Amino acid sequence: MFAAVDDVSAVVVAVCYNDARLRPETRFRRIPQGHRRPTGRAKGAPALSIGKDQVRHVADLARLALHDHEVDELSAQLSRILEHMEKLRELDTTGVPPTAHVLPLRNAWREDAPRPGLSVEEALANAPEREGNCFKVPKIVDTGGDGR
Amino acid sequence: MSLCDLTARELHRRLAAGEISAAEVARACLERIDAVEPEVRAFITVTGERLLAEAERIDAARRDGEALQPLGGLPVAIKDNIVARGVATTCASRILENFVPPYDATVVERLAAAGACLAGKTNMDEFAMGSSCENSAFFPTRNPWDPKRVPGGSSGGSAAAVAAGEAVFALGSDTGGSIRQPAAFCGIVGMKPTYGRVSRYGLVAFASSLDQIGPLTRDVTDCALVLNAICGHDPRDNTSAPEPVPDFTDSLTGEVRGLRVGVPREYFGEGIDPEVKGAVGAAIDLFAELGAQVDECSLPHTEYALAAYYLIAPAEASSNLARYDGVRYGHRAAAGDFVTMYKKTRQEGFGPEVRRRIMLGTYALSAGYYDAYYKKASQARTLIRRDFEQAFERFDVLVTPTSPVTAFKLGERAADPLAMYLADVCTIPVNLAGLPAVSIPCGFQEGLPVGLQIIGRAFDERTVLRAAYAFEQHTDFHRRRPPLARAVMTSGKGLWGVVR
Repeated sequence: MFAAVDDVSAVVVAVCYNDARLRPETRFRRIPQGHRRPTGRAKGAPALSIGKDQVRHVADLARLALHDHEVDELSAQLSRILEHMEKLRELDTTGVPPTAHVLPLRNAWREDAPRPGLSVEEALANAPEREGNCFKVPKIVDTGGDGR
Repeated sequence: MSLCDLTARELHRRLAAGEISAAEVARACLERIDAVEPEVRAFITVTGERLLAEAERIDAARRDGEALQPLGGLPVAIKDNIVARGVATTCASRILENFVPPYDATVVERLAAAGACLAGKTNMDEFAMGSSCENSAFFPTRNPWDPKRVPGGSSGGSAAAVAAGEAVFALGSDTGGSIRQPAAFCGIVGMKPTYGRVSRYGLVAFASSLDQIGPLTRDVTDCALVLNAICGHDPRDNTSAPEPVPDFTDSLTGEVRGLRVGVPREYFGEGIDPEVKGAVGAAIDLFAELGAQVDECSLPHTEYALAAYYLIAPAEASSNLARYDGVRYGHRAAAGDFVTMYKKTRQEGFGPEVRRRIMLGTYALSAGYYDAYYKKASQARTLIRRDFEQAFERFDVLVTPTSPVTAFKLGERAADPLAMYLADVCTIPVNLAGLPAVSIPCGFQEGLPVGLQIIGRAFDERTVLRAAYAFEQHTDFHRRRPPLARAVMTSGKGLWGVVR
């Protein structure tokens, strides 16, 4: 459910997932290093923009359906936001370790002892569809299309 | 003045003395909710019957000779991204519109143990993504100081409820300023404790390395009282800090002589409203008059905080929000195969800002862009943390504006996501560094409150509160009530004549 416990490491999982999906087909337009200015860029020529195909591709990775007009909007909005993020390129971060988390905590251990949890009825109470003691979902295999 | 306009501390005193009953306090809040809610719309769910029942139980226990708990009989409003068993928790999102949680958040358990009574669940920007409450999927909340203006966000409902007297105090969550900025806009006290101070168990995750629950209150003493109730280690949250929890009211001495107050110059530059600068400047002068050692300092990487935050937070969000898949809870789209169902569920269930951030985060984490964006932002985060560490070698607290502007008008920034992001520029660095910070009212500009932010060392909320309390003792900004509440007090009707 909404456990606050493991979601930091879940980011790492998502990274691996996205990596594996994207590596063979990196379709984002990259600007050659030499064309980049360390700060700012030539007027009227964004150093990096997200085209409509890229928007569709990222939406597919994020499992988001988009209407056509949203593809146009997101392309413009994300490009503008990322243009602002380009500011980070000014920073020399050579040898600077990344901060994923501010606390000096390592693994938090607990006794592997049984504890009360949700009952089956409680766990299923919010299910959009159920059958017996199971969450019911549409067929996953043999759907064709992109239902890989 | 109605009972619902008093502070928690004053109500506690009167309850303990037997001058008033908890049921009277509960009824005063519910009457105020009836009077102002058609205009303010701070609540998504009002739990009136539960509030009265809990208050009557407290009164009965008192009659049986039980001692009054620290927050006994006080109505609390809780942001709708914190779960309370059996009460709908929507995150102001269509995707969770009908979600009824089967368990209590740790903070909800702790407040109940301290005697607080739930008044309702408050409006917010969907999944806490926004700075104005306009991203709620249901309706915007309005600022009790001026209904044409936003209450701030994302905890705008919690801030408006406290300012309008609909609850005695509230809980919010703060990922990039979502407690402090609405507190500033609504003229109340709002604190983001140190990361790890308050358990996140039962807080619907947005950006897990930044999210922190905290109080919104009428004054600094109330803030300390609520912190006493909600802070502390929780084995159910692996990022909860095993730090001892002091009595936060101990530090409220009214004394700041010798306190070293740093003024980071980067927070007073371009983009900060001159009137806000003026009010904050006057607050800094007051600290000097009270004997604090005030000096300018520099946090040189401040200008990179916004870019780092709006990569890190969406990256974490894109992962956290992957759980909304239409299977275990929440909305499910009618669609044929599994993947189409998943995609359409998320299209129908998430609003535009949430989808935008999922897209931004997915992009920032994707291959070929991970190093340039997510990793670079995480390195910038290290540099921002180091800036604070160095400043805190010389200073005990740092003071800045909470927000570059006072409450803006509804619709003013809604069309431009980047303009909305800039509203958080003074609060975001604090989340990146995991530090405690409070916003307190420090002046008024054309009838709208201005907030002062006081930032402290990790786990040193006490010194932050000490500085805030001393300031409060020498000013009366925290005693002012919005025109809406004043009109109700005198006429029994809302300022705009609406009585349900």
